[in-house]
Amino acid sequence: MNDDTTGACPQRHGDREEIARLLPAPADWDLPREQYLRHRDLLMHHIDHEQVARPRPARRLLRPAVLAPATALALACAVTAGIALTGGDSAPTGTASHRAATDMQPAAALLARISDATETRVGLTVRDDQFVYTRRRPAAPT
Amino acid sequence: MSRREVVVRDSENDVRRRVREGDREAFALLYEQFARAVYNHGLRLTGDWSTAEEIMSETFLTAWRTRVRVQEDGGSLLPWLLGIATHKADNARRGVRRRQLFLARQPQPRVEEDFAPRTIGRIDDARYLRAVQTALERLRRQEREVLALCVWSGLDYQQTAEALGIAVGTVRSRLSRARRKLAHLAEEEREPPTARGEMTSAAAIAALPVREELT
Repeated sequence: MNDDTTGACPQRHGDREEIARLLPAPADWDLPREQYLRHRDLLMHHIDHEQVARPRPARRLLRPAVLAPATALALACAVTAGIALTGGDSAPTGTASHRAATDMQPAAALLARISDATETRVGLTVRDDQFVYTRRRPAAPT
Repeated sequence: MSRREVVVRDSENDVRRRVREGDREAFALLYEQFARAVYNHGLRLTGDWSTAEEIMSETFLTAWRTRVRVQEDGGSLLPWLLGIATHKADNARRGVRRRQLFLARQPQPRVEEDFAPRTIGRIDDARYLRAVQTALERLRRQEREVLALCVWSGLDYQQTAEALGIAVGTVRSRLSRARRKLAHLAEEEREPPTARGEMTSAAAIAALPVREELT
């Protein structure tokens, strides 16, 4: 109350004391313990909730998706998401959607194999904004 | 600056950093430390317990949302919290005013406040608290807020300025105006009050609205 940090002239400094005399502070009240704890829990819950909901940084694709076969084209979205999450490279690109991480694992593995195979066979470099159209004869039944 | 002050400032800056970074424990600590002060600040500005409770709760939620605005260096975070609470109290006061205007147009009689759950000793405090509201009504919002922060919550001029986002000189001039108005009010009410025993002109201002209510 009676700090002197301001170095104000005595008349000015007297404003505080004079007001305190004219209109004393109402007595302090305690918030009932129950409410005190309820609002603390509310705050903590809010903080926890927001920290869980906060989006994790997006990850970079391990390799460009080569979308040659019809199956790969149909599941292009899944490839993007799947490979992005299984890859270990953490440099951010902001391109990968990363929903349902665990569900994608088997599909991602399969698609990775397909794209590996296609990559070696076609021998083309395709950017993310390009498509490759191929014509193939259906494989002979085994 | 003494060694102790340096230590205090370092730990306060550490709290500030952790709050900025969204450290859960830092907020738990902040709540533990300042919930009561924020509650009472809201109560003094609004005169209503449940409103004060809401103000307190919302102040900490807003603090969490706006934590990145906390400066790295600058001492206690109480001025920041009280600044948020002051805004909330202002909103609440406007709301109450609207409700009162609405009720004033209604035909039914005013409902008396129920003090049953409170102790007898608190009745006087409660009445004084309500009376203070009427005195505060006579001040402008800016003067009221500076008064509550600087006189009642014990912030210094610098901290009050920080809480309200205004210059220190403005704090001084508002405080000075508030003082003149209150002194003038006390002049008007020279008549000795009866309700609170030994009284200064201070309580005289506050007692005035109580007497009005009782008649």
